[in-house]
Amino acid sequence: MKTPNNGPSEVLLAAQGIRKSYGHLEILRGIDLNLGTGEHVSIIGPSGSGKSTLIRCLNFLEMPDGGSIDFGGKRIWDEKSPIKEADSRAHRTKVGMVFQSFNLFATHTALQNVSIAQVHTLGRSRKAADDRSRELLDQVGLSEHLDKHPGQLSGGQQQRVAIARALAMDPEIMLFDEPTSAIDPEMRVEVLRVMKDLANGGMTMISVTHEFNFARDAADRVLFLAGGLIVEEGTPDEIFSAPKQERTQQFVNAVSGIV
Amino acid sequence: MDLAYLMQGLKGTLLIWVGSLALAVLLGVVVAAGRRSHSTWVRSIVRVWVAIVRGIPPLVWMLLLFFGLGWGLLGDSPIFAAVVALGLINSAYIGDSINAGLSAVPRGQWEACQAMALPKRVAYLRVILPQAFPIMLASSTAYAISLLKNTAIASIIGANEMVFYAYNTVQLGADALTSFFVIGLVYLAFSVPIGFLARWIEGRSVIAQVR
Repeated sequence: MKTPNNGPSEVLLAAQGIRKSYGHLEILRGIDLNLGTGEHVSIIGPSGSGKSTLIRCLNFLEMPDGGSIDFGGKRIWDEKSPIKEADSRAHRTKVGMVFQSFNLFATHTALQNVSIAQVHTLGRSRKAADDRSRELLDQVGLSEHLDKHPGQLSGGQQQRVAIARALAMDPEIMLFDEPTSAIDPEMRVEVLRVMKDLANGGMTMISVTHEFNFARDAADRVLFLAGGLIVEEGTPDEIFSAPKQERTQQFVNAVSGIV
Repeated sequence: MDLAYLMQGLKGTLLIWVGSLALAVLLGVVVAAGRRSHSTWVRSIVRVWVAIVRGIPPLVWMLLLFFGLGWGLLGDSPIFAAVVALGLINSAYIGDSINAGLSAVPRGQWEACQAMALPKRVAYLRVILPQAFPIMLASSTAYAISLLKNTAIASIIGANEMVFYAYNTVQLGADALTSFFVIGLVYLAFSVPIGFLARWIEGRSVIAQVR
């Protein structure tokens, strides 16, 4: 079980009625998602349920078609007022994103990957950025690999560089989009451990994941998404051990390998 | 065949080649930017332009520019007319290979730049172009070689390049087979090493290694 937060926290992120379609295909059909500071929500659900699209809407990698998003108590986007380029950039500096396929910069070393946005987005000095990068890469267990390029690292190592890269921006919230799906099962554990440490350290997080054990241990709340809607929402125990909805039960059983 | 004559011709050939290549790259950047524009209008204009440029044979372009469309500016210099004609035509090809190089960079690289709010200039210069450049270079080099061969067409509008000189020496009594064989070797001496260079660069590219 995750280390509980101390007392009620203020709402950091409030997404209301998020809708998104591609052509005639409705991916998100009105999703409400509130997140308190220090809270960790895991999103589970079948492929195509809209999990990834939902978290990609939260840093505007996808533009939602409808709804509203408040961050830190301020309205940053709604369907009537499209966000300006400068505002979406400012928002993205506060939101760390970890992708399924790592997306490390291929021509940069691990250290350079973690430093580049510190220098060019935040305006830190090269020295300050590299110092911070070394600290973070050490924290994720990669101090031996500072000068390696992504191609020389395993999937698990690449993903830990990617986590360090996102943390280097000192984000207020971290988004994880199926961070272990592209990694060999054996190599996942290190990534999951880093994520669990983050959650226990009080980082505000949303993780889209198929790792139920991780969600059970490290999430405060679990959302089950299917067909673009939240089918059920509850504590990890409620969702994994005693789901109320038949659809949730089916999914949990199927992924857990219960026939 | 007189070697001094050959060198004169080679100078003309290289002048047309390098000049038209420079013009093609310059205009190619514009074509690539147009292809990637958000405006449907700009994309349509570029598409029409590329179709026109590609659809007319290089020789016809040269003749048009030399005899008519040069507004008096190109009529005096066949070399200049050839540079402009070949530069225009190849801007379409080079533009598309620049575009293809940018498209070959995985979307995730762009998304990571966006997610970290990297300024567009930094994203292009430090992340996207270093990966796209070897791919652009490899396909552009293929066009550069065909451009080199196309410079021979300029002999028809009287540009003083290798074929023109070789033909003249033959008219003056030199052995035809030897003359044209020698300039054939000179073309090879340029195109073969460039082809090897292109493959070497492509082999070293990060994207090629990943695949």
